[in-house]
Amino acid sequence: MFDRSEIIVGLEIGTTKVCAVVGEADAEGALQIIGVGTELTRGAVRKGEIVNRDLAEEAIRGALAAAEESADVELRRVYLSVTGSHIEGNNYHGVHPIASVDREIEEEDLTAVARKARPQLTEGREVLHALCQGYRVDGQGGVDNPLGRFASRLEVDVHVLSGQITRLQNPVYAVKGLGLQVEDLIFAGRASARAALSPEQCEQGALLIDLGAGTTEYVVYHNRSLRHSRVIAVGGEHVSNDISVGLKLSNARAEKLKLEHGAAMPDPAAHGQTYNFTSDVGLDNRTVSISHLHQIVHARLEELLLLIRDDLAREGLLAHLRAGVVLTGGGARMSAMERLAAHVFQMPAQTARATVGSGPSSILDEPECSTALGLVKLGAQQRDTGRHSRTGVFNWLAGKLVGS
Amino acid sequence: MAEQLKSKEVSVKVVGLGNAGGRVVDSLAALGFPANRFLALDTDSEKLQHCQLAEKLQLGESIRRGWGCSGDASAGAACLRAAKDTLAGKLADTDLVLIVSGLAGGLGGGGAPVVAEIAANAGALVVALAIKPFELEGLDAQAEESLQRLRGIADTVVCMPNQTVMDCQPNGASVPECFEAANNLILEALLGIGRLLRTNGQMNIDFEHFHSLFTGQHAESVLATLEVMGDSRPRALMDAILRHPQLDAGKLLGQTDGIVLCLSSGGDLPMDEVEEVVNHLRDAAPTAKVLLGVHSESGQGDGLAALVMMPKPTDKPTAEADVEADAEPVNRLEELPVNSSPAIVIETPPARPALWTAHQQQLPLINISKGRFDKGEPTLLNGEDLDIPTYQRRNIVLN
Repeated sequence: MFDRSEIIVGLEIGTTKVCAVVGEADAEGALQIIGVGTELTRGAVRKGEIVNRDLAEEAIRGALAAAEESADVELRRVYLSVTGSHIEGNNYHGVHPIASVDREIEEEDLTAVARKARPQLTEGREVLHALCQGYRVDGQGGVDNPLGRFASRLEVDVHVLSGQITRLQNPVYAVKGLGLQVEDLIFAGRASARAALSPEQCEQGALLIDLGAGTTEYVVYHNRSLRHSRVIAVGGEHVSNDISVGLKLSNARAEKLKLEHGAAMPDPAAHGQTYNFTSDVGLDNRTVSISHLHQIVHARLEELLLLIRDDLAREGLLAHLRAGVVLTGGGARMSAMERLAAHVFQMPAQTARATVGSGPSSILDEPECSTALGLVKLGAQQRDTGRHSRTGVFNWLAGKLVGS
Repeated sequence: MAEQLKSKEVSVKVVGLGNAGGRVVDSLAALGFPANRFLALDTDSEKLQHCQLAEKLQLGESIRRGWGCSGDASAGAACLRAAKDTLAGKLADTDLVLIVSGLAGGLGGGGAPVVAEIAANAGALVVALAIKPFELEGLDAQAEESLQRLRGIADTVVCMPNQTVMDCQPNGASVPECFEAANNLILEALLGIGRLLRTNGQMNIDFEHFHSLFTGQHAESVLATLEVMGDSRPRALMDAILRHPQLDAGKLLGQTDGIVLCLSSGGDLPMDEVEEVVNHLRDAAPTAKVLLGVHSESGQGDGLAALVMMPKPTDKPTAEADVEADAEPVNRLEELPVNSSPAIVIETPPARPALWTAHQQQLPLINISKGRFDKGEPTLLNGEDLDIPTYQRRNIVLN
């Protein structure tokens, strides 16, 4: 068993919970999910970034222990996700003249053009991913593999995700502090997209919105490559906080009310309805109006989606989204969320169904786990290709962040 | 024929005083400066012999016996006074006299005010180009004294501090490199003045206007030559003007009443570029009158070169400002520089009393709760703090 199949672990340190998903890839490369473990972070993470390392390590340990138990394997190496408002995605372009006599594109030309696309980042920032969007050979676009073609000019488009190096390394250190190895550090939005978007959707053009608790990541895929990515440090906690401030409830009651009665679109049927909090230890009876709740939640979520829409409009990407909007993350569970997204973007919107291999459907259906699931899928893919996607052509970023 | 030409062209005479001035004028003549006459004055006979100019005058033969003034300003002045009549004859019928001298020298520092006086009496506009010594030469006090005297007599003094040149040099620049850079800066300034007085450009600066802007100012002027290339040259030029050390980082723009701007480029300049430059400049200096000249210079390449010259506002009004403030505050308000362009930051001169500064009234802040996000890094986007509940920011009334 050990020489034939491989264990791949995806670990997401989220704002409210740490989620570990264990996958097993057999010799044919088929992926099966064999275990999952989650643990609440209890305030160790704020807006996607660790603020209390001891508490965070405790939560990671708890989640991994649960995953080990459910998968019945020992976990040593993980694929780790990272997020935070400091992460930015930008497109860069590189041009390289083919200098060799016969003008045949060789491996070193690919390296040279990749180097020319390398961005000048400001001090303290580091490249997280550099993802090739496609080559252009003598002005002819859409070339996936230009090796062996004859040309005088080779161009490449690259999507580069970068972040502040210290903030990128915080989760890596937390995991290493537990004696675990980090195989790779992957942007959470990219991992979620891998789990939630099908290859067809990536081809046609799709917007994936991962509505997390502390942050919202969104990425645009078109023609099978990543076109745009961004993090907004607004998430489900903001919705709960708005309810808590607006209806003058404790955080716990606001959270409960959001999960049970929250809705992204105001419901006319809820007009006049109220909700009673029965007397709890130390807390009074309270009655709140459901339509007030809907107004508060709607204002926040509509604003969030409008921010995303305006950003994509600026980038000129809205017209490319032929497969529409896909929602994932805990926020996708919010009632009427799909309807709100369809209304804001004026295109079909749906909640993601994880597309990872096979396994217990209870895990695969949970939008909260899509990032960790995507990490497993990306990890399996990287092992298949011998990690070429990371250390091959774009080797100017290899290994700097995770160390080895 | 010569008489006809003289009536059309502005007659310029460049006078090089002493060692430093003589050397500059010598190289200037070699570069083809379009002046009618050059004149080198020195007491040092050996230095004068090396000078290539046609017209040169040895001074103070009886006083210095062919030696230099060795930094003695009173000796320099005495030598010049002795030759007053000869000099007056040489400076007659001249519209503009450019005096080039080193402020630290004996003849340069002491003699320049005398030459300025003779030229002014002959009816010419006197522009003095005074070279301030390097700080390490230790002659600052003497130079400052000479500058004060010169300023009182010449119409305007353009001060060229060698020190700013040295500050711009990279570390490890050699002594000849520093001196050459300083000389080049002075030559560029002089050539710029020459270009600005030419009358064969596409737009010419009328000498009368130039004359009226500087005559009787008895103040310092600043002069800078700049060159920019590439796309969006007007924007780049304006940035260069605002950053130029000689122009005091654009601070003077808001205070001056007149700016001489002379643009030149290799090819013909597009009209909209000229317009953009002038508009930028008007935004930065709304109170100033802009004298514009445009020339095309063959062999200059595709850069856009500019000469900016403007009188420095004198410090006198600020001293009296406090006294006048109570009596006539309204009139003073009109004189305040109005900076209409938000893109260009011009520091308000510190001497202006705060009395006239308009204040935006501040309303007391309503304490908006951010709940659990009160602590920690705020989420700011498009100028909004997204941690504040949306319904509060949008003033949604819960009903």
